[in-house]
Amino acid sequence: MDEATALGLYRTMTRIRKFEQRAYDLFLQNLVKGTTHLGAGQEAIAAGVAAAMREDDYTFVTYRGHNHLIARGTSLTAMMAELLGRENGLMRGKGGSMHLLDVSKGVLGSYAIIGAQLVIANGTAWSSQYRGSGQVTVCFFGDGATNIGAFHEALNLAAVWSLPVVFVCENNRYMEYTAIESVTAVKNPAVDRAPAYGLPASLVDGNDVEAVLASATEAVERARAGGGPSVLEYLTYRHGGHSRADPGKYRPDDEVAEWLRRDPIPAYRRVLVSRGVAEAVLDEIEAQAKAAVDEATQAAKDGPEPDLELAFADVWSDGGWTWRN
Amino acid sequence: MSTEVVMPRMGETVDEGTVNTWHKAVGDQVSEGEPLLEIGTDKVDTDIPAPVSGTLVEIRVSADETVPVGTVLAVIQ
Repeated sequence: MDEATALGLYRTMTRIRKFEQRAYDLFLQNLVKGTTHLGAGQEAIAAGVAAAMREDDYTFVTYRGHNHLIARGTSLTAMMAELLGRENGLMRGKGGSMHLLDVSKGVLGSYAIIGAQLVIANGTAWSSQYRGSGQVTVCFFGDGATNIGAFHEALNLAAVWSLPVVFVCENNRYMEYTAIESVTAVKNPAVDRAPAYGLPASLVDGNDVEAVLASATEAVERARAGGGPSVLEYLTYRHGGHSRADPGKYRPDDEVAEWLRRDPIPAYRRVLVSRGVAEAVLDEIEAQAKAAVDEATQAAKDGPEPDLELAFADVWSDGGWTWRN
Repeated sequence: MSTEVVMPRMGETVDEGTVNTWHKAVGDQVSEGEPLLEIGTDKVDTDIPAPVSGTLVEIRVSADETVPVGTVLAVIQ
């Protein structure tokens, strides 16, 4: 892999990690409005998949979605301000952490309903197919979503219509507070089900960013070339709890310790250093990420609270709402 | 510069929290991310990490006291 691409992956992962750590701190300070679901520990998936995508491709994410917006280039300030419920936020402070959407980056929503995005992702994939635009849709979901009906409906219809969509399972082993294996009939919740719909599937180490990039490139390019949908399952682990300040005590200590040892960011740093990248270059990338998050935090804190009138803006297509009354 | 540590909102319907234990005493050095205290609510007990590195200069809420969300628990300098 060329060094510019490698450093880009490291930069994306570092930006995500710093953002998520800051979001957690701000949550504890009561500055984050509503809940948060953080993706620290799962950065390699967002960075690797985004690097495999074309600028005009579509992304659908879950409520644990910050990682993917950052990876696709959404403004950190707009995101942080949204978490804080400020008018300079991505949704003008009305959506919060669970509902981030950035049309300009092709991110057509963060879905709080488990599995809802899979069937909707088929819609943009069908649109691209119909228009012959060559765009690919990448749809992320968690391990728990594989036990939802919509997962099976979406895979089936995508296969029937040979849609340009890649279904990406971020298997972090826990659906909220429940270990996935305790409620699932198969060992690998996504890849073991893909053959039922005739779909190719790969099980990949989701903490190895280059393995993620390679597998995602294959799947995205297959879809773009008309080869139809496929399933990727990335094995990973969230460093924190499910949401808010959940301490995650339902997870065994030795399991947490083992996965912290497999933290994707220090792991990739070791790889880059072994290839001859100077420590100072990587330190500088981390310093830039921290500076960007500091700047976003300050701009978010300085942002105004939304006016009450704003509750009625961006609701109806013509911008008005008076006809409702 | 001093940084206040406040009682976080642990759930949408949780308006107060209890300090279970202080892991640090006034005068102790703390580093960012290190567990500072454990709090408890009717939903969950959890450790609260120090938001910054510095000296713990003040503890305003003692163990076993229950206070509203947003109350300043400690000051780090």
